[in-house]
Amino acid sequence: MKNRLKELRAERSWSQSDLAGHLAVSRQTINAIETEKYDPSLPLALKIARLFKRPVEEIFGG
Amino acid sequence: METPQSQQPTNTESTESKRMVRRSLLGFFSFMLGIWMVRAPKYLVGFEGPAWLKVGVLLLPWLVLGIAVSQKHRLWLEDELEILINRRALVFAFYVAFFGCIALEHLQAVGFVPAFAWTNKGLMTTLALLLLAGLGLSKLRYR
Repeated sequence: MKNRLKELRAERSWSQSDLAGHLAVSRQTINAIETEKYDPSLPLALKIARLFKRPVEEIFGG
Repeated sequence: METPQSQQPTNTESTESKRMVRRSLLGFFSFMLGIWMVRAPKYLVGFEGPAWLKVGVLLLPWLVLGIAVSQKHRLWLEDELEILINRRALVFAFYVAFFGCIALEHLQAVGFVPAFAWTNKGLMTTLALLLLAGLGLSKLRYR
């Protein structure tokens, strides 16, 4: 699924490891989401939305 | 003046290092447990002590394993993608071993392949290799 995770991460100058730390997941998971190889679970998607203070649809809307 | 969010310290390093330490320790103890399980029966064959001690030494690694597995907290700090990868690897190993056994039985029945006695060691080794292959293939997909 298309997402804006990389873009939002870049706005804050975070590395994938930084973002992984904030979300308590592995860097591999962040990379997999950004490269659209993996769709996050609902709890993780909501956590991401809360972290970036954006609606889920805006981040994972395609 | 507020520190920009990008410069605020994160707990990334502590989470990653915790993960690495836990995995290293678990890997080490699993290895030692495996060595014990394989070697202990051979040494206990000639043991002339009390039976309860013999059984205790033999079953102790299983007790340790049972306690570790029964723990509610996630020892490996697995996240959702890692759980998915492990599950896929297990499914892969199971189905290949299962249908592989059936195919082998058929080939043995018609005499294309010589029949041989299955040993636990051979089956466990095959399953372990298949699981590793499944893990490797799944992890490659998410690089």
